[in-house]
Amino acid sequence: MSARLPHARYEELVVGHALSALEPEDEELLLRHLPGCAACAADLALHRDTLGQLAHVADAGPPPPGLWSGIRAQVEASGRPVSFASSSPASRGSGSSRVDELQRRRDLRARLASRTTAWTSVAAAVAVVAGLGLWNLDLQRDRDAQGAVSQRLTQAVRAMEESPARTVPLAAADGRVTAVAVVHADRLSLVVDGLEPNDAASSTYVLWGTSSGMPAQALAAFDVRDGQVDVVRDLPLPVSARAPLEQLLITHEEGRAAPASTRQTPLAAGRAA
Amino acid sequence: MRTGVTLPNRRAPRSAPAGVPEVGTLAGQDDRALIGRVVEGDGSALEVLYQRYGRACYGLARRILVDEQLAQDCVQEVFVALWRDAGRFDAARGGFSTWLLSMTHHKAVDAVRREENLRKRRTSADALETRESDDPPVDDEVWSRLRGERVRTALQTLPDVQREALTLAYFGGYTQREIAGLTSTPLGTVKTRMLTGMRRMRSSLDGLSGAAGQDAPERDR
Repeated sequence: MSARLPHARYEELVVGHALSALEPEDEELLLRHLPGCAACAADLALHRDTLGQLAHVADAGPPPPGLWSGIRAQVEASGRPVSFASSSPASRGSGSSRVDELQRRRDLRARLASRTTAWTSVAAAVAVVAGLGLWNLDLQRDRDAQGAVSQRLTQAVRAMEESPARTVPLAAADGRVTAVAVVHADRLSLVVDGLEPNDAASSTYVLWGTSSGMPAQALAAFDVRDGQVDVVRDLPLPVSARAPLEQLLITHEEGRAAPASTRQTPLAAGRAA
Repeated sequence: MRTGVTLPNRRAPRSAPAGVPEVGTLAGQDDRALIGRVVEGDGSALEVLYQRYGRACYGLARRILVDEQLAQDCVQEVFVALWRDAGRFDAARGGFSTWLLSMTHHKAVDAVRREENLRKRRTSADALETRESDDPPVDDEVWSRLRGERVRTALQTLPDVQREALTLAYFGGYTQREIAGLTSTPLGTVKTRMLTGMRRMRSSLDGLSGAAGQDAPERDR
């Protein structure tokens, strides 16, 4: 039987538990403690939330097309009554799952053959992380809404992919990217993450476009909500703005309509050309 | 245990709940509503959840397991487990995506520890490597641009040793003791670094400047 630990030790164990990194004896200690400690339970939820956000940085691209087919096959074989709508996009590819599988195996063999096995120091690995900046993270607070936002973005992006588009990051003066515009010949979409929420009763953000020799033209007015990734979809580009855009700018304006011109300092800008 | 890659023949559903909505209709529903439908036997709701989070689950499993096939097996296991027992999700204890990704992480770490050969083959650099990407589609680019800045900022708040401890545990699947051995650091110090690093990350992600007030002093044991 072990003596009670100082609470600070349990706090460390909670982190290790969230990371699935505890040794069995520590795991056992914590699991005895957790049911009676609301503070540790709350900490665990917070740590899991943080790690859940971190998980998004490990993006490996879309899952292989055959993966859903395999899940669906197991679901249908599970013995539980199940029904699928007939027009499910992910299952449309299931007929080619065997082909997908063979291709996947070929890809895997090729990658394994080319993988080096040299041990790289831990410090170097961490430096690689920092240097390459391969991290990204979802900061949305409303976790249940996250999927819906993601879905909207994906739909927006798919629509964008139907015709050639340019992706234009818009950065603040400190270099921080706060929005990305996807510009088509006749329309654009904007994904905003990092601008302060505006007062939707009395102000608006405005996206401006500049073309060679032309004054900046308001392309769209939009609001930014708190803690959300805002997706402004398929804004029609005025005909007069369809000349090759050189630069996109975002300003914050008083009033609810985009003014004809602005004297505000741009909050973010990006080269479109 | 790895599941086979050969897919069984698809069977016709044994019964179907009346009025199964199209996937497109379900796509607008929130996670909790979809889970409710999964509990009732709606496979299309499960499919929408897969469309929503399958990519994140796959990316996480792929990063931890390195092996693409193992990663697929892991994600398959997660979603089949979700199908079998969706009622285990308790919304009062956190968001669905957090729960699902936590389950994915747990299963991936279990798998990587079982696969000793794989474990020996991979390096910690593998665990942290950037994905092999050919021309990322527009959505990848959009997301990575949007999130990259935020995350870099959050990570830059971490001293190297804290970032090292967290990444080796989370993406490498190493235990605290293994990390202590890998980094020639006392176990107690590793634990403290993890706690401090997590608090700092949390603080950064909450948009608070600095987290010094929450830092625990490092100790050696």
